[in-house]
Amino acid sequence: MAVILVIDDDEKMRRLIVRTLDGDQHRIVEASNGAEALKLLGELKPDAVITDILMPQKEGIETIREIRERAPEIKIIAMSGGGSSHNLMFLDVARAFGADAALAKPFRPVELRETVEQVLRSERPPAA
Amino acid sequence: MSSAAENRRKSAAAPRSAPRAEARPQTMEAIGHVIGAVVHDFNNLFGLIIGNLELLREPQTSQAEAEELSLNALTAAFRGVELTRGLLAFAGRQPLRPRLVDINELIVETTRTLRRTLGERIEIVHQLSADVAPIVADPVYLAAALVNLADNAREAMANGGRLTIATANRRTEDAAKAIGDGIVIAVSDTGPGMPPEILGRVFEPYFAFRDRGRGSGLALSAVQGYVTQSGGQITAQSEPGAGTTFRLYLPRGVALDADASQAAPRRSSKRDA
Repeated sequence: MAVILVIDDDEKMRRLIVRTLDGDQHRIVEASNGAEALKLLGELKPDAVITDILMPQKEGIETIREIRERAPEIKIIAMSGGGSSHNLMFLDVARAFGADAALAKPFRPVELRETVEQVLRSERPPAA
Repeated sequence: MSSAAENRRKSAAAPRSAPRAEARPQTMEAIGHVIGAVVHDFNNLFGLIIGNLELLREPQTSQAEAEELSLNALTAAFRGVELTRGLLAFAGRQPLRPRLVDINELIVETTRTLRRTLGERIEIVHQLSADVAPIVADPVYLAAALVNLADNAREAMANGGRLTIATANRRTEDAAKAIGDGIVIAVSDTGPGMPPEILGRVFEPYFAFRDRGRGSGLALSAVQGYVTQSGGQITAQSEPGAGTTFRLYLPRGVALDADASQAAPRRSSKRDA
């Protein structure tokens, strides 16, 4: 069983992700933004984080960067409905900041399950 | 060609072409910004629709779960409908059905809804002029505009405050001269206000998108689009620490049909907390 932290400001999207992964014997915890997620990080010690990019208070790219600094072993999946910043696509930026995988919304439940299992099986390079 | 005609031709062509060439990249950038934000919103909604419907089809889904999943998919689809309406409003292309409206009565009716959505921490105050003239407007979209402005005020007053809705007749010498005699609806909050650099961009679609979350990116743009389409104007006045006031200037109505006799103003100034 893995502990997975889901970060999205849209409660309906969080519930959908929880329900999608529910049958896979994982413990899923929800956070509505990056600031809330970072508070949970130390206590929860998640195996993986699934995070949206565009969120109020603390958005996904900044959250990914801080998770990488504090817990380089955590697997990170970034997801976004698109959009760009300074002509760079958000998901490309997320990968550059250390996300292990990226999912473009809309995605199918089977894609999410496969990505989660793939990321959980993968090895992260040791911290520099 | 005569020299005078040649000069006219040059003066007509030269000054216009240069600013257009400069303005185009900015316009394209703004359009690209809006399209990107709209695509983002729709992709999120499609994600909810596809995800919930696919889970609905899985064999282990119970009847109770199926009901919730189908409701979630429907809700997301209706949010998409709201989004397309917001886009049409922003573009000033809503299918309006204008009729003579008693604005004070519409405000009182809309306030019943606002009292539920704004919550107990926000006091609602009316300052409605008893002799305000009837206007010609689509009451459904005008009520939606007031709800959008009130939602904006609610977000500005997270810790509570006062929302004031005022009406008055307005003569041509007042602020919005371009629309002639009419009325003004002022919606004021006691929130923290905005600095000039924010105030100047407050009607831009998705300007505040990242700070305020999903679904709010078109609200003020839609209100502006509706007011403009109705032949009016909207202004925003704000200072840090002094709250914000949106003023909707709408043209005075003329008696188009039998509705005129039913639209006589009949409310007096009233505190409606």
